Amino acid sequence: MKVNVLFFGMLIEKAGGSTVIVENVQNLSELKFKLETQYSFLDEMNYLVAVNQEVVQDNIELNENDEIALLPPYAGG
Amino acid sequence: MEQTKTKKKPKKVFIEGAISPQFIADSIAKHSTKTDIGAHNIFMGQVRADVIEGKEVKAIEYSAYAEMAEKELHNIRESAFEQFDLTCMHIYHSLGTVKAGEISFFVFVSSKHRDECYKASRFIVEEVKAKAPVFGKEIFDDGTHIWKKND
Repeated sequence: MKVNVLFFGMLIEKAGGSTVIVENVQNLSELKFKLETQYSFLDEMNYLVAVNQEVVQDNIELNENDEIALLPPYAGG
Repeated sequence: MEQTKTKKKPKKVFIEGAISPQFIADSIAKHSTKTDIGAHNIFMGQVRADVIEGKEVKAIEYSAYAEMAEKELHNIRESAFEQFDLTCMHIYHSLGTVKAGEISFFVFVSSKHRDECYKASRFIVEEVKAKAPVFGKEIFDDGTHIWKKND
């Protein structure tokens, strides 16, 4: 299945773009592994993962066209 | 009566550029007809000209995961209304470039009495800082930048 990955803030700069489509992933662990392989800078970065706009800590199953956001540290307020 | 406890209605949160003193003054003025209010509390976040490694911050360029930020803000608003006896509440945040000395964050709570206002204001500010996916690029006078992080 395929999911849409969104980068924000400094991750856009590091990834060289704000979105990427990742195919053949069933769950969040697989996706993170794929992303960390492709974008090695993620390894040493502090970021949160949101699935369809909700922060997720566990390894959940993903669904077709889920929106996965990688969120670097917040700076609002 | 868009400002009273309309719990489900999505609210405008983001403002392009700085939040002007006029906008804040107008927000205050709009409450003069709500005579059950006895106390307002306003928090404003202003862009600080920090000096980092000898370079001075001239502006912050804000960006956000807007759909998620709006959901988080909605939850924070609901939670504040549940915990505190508020008459109304407004939260605004800038997107785009805000220069040092300008306002980028505006929280405005109103209640019958001061105690609820003080507590709610603090709660909302801390929650927004911790939960709203807003990102800030601190731009120096020489054009370079670093990414800001909340403590």
